[in-house]
Amino acid sequence: MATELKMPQMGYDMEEGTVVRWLKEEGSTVGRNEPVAEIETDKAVVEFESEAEGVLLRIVASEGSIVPVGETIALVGLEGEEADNVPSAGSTESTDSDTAIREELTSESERHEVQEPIRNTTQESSESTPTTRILATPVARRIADELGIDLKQVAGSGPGGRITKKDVETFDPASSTSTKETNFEMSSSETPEQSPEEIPETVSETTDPSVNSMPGEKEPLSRMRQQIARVTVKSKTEKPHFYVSAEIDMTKAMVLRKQVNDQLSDDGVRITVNDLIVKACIESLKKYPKFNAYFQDDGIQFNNTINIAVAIAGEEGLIVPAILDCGSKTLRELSQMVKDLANRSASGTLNNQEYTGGTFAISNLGMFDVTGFLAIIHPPQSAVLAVGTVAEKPVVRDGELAVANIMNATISADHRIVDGVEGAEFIVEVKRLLENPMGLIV
Amino acid sequence: MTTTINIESEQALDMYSTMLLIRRFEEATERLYQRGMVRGFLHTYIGEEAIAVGAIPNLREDDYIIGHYRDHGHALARGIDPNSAMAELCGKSTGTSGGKGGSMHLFDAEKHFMGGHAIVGGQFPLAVGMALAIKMKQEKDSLVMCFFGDGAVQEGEFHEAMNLASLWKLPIIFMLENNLYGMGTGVNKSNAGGENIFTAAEAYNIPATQTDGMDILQVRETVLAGIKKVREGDGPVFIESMAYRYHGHSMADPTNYRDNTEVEKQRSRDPIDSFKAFCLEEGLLTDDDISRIDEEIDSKIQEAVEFAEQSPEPSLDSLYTNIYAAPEAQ
Amino acid sequence: MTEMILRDAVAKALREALDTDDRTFLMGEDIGAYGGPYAVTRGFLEDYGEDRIRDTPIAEAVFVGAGAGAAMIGMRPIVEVMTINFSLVAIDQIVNHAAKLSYMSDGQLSVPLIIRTVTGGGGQLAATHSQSFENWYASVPGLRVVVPATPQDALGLFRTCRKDNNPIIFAEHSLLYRVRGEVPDEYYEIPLGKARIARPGDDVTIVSYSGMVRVAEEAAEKLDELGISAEVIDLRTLSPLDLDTVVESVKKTNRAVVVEETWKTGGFSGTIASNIQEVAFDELDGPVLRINGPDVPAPYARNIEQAMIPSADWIVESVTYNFGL
Repeated sequence: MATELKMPQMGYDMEEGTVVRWLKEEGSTVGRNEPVAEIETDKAVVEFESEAEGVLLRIVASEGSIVPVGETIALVGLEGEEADNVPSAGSTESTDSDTAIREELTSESERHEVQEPIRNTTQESSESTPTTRILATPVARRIADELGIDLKQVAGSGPGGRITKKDVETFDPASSTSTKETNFEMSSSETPEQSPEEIPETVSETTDPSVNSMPGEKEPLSRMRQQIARVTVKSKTEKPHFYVSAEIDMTKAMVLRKQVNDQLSDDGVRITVNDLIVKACIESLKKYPKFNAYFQDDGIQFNNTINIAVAIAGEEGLIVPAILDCGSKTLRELSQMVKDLANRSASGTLNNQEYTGGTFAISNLGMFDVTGFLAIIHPPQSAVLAVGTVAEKPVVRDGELAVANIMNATISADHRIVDGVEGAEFIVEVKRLLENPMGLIV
Repeated sequence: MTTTINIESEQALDMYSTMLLIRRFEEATERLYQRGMVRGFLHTYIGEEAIAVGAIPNLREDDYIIGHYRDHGHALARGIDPNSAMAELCGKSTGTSGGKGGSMHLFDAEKHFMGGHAIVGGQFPLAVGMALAIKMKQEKDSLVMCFFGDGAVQEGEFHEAMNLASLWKLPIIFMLENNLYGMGTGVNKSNAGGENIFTAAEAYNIPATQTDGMDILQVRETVLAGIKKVREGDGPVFIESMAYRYHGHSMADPTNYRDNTEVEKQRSRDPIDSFKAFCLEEGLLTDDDISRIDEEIDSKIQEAVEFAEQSPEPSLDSLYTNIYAAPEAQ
Repeated sequence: MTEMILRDAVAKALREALDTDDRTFLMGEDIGAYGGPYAVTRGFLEDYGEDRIRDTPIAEAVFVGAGAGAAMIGMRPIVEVMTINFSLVAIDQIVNHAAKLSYMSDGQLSVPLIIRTVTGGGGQLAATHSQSFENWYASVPGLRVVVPATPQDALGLFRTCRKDNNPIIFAEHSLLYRVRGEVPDEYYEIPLGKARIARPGDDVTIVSYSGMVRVAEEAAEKLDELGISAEVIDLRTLSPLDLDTVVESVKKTNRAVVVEETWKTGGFSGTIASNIQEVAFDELDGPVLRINGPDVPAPYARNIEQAMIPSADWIVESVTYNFGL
């Protein structure tokens, strides 16, 4: 087996060397430690000694060639030995040095794994990107984010007007003088609902902290209560609400729902009244996209997707998570998504986008015996549909008295975007769809 | 060979084979360096073998050795396993320091080999401290053998250490390996006293002498006398061994500061070749002995290289171990 | 409790070491016959003899290195470098040798060496004798750096240092030697790497060590008069560093000031400040302030020397201005 003479490492920083001159010709005899070539490094020309004795079988690197450290420059072996299968210097075949480089890379990446990353002790912030620069300390930003406070409305008392922790903690939204619409700053991971509403599938006892309080005592507001107070005040202060109501005959819808559920009960599918309402709203929003938009900087910003938010009462309080991008979903799919949303809200596994991404909301108090109510719009949305219970009522049909399943619905809308006529058109469309429910199923 | 000392065949055999072990070990390290297996700085001991082998085997187990970064020869002469030394040079977990020290920092605390030290002159104060500890413990007449090169004697730490060692009468043998160059600067360009450095010791009231560092028997004779004197408790001695390193300071050395005739002249006095000739002439060793030893050493070195090549790299966890020693158990 | 000055607390610690461990000896310039340049070891030579109280030549490199060498083979020496300024003459032995031996030998060797030295300025000793280099040493892995501010800490920390098996820079501030404090009569130790809350507070955290702890406490008094409640943290050791106590405090106060005597550029306060913002960014109600001496060599004349040393007023002003308090 021939010995490969390789470009030597002559110093820790040497990467390549030049073969200046061969001191031996191919075929000549060489002894161990006998100089065979002169190698030039960036420091000097040095004699290169053979590590083996025998015959110089082949010179791989010609005089003048620059060869990376570790690549073969010549072969020494026994007389007549084969000198084939040895790549010439600089060829692309794998060499020891290639292997070495790969190994280095491996250990490099391993090394990064053992190096500990810096970890903040506080949770990752879901703070939205401010559109203009606000001077605020890190802790003030974090707390504002948690409380859903818009820093643009907070006056800074620190040096240079910097908003400090104290400024945020003592911030009173009611006394805020800012009138600028700042809907996007509202997004937060715990945005509260504007009114106590629920959907039938997720009815649970809402605990009111005032229930157990003693007469005459002042019960401090819970964090959730504070948020609800702040958001509803903000919405009612900034958004000029108007309301349009309609009585919707749900008789056909109830019949159809029963048929569908009977047919699909084996599949575990159970369409609710609320599912039908969600579907009807989606179709109506496609027709009247202004209700799926919001007011911003004196313009109407249309949303690209329809994300129907539904009010859910959880243990922590009310939240309004959204079914994201549900514009093209079938009724059956929607039913599943609403159920999934409710389950995950109970288990606390909703993601941030679901918490904050709603573009239109439905508040359903149908499980209570209420004929109807008015809802407060959930910023930054511009409309919310409030529905009451479905109750049997006498109606006149074709000149005769009949019993029908009637549901009251009221749309609350932002007058800066839409007017009463548009509100009427929208709720009539919802009514039309629900009263002719086959269209919702197909 | 200029000696009157009688040595037995067995000793001659040990001396010859240890010198050859060092020579072959160093040749192998150079090949491994050229192949990229050994990295960093590599300083070989080729040409200076007679000093380590003439000196270290005369020490007792309870004596201590400390030296500089050209430390492979000292380590092997002290009996450090060539396998773990080679593995250390290759940065492997089986090395003397688990791959954390490298060529310049070989340690074996059990064998009282207290390190190659790579800051020129840095080993002197440590040697003084070890000798002080020996003296304060008053347990044995142990000593410290401290190796250094001609480049170290202009460092302040050398002079501070010489002074304190002499002042406190500490048991140290200062072993100067004068190979005539501190990296590429000749001793005549760096030492005010010229080539004969041992005279400097006289300024500190330290008995000093000079030997031919390429003559193992002369080194041995001088060191034995020095050991005897130090064990008597009268303070340090200073031995200068005139030597020559055949190769550059390190693998990066262009050796353009000396001419080839100088190197050839020194090589002609090769310590191994001349000791071999002496032993054959005196009948201490036979031709058979010589070829048997040659083969044994070759296979020992081959085994060391294979051991180093096949050993695993240090675990990544080891990056963080032994930065600090654990507190004393109470 | 017994009231004593810091100098006596250190002397007590040294005597304990000599009394209980025959591997321990003292070595340094003028520690014997002279009684110690700061009189810490007065009377030691008479009590322990020349062999264990070793006066050395003025040769810091060799006697500090010899301490390391003796420690390598089983002794537990305590060396005294007269001032931390002179430790630079021995820095090769401290940084290149003592600090490296455990690691380079992969645990075969250890260096249980305490290097006592005197740090700090304020004594009109001018540029070469008024420096603080604890921060330099704290940046070297393998070294421990202990910087006590009270007699109680000096004794308790030293007791722990004696059991540690690593080279330790034990830096005593020259202006603290006469500071009085209560020291428990019963035996106690103070662990390395555990900061002390010198004064609790709610509004701002002042981190300091060594001679600056007194200044921070004085600033806290003044802030209190302004209705600002300052928490003062004494790091006690720079290596190991107790970052947890600092961060916990900052989480509470949301504001941090780091006060250090040495120069601002390269100061240890920078390490503290960057650590705070890295791990507790979202807790901060303002920038982490660093109050260091300016980047000038210490002058001799009293008025300009005093001007370069952080003072209580300097801290108070920085806090009120920068935090809008």
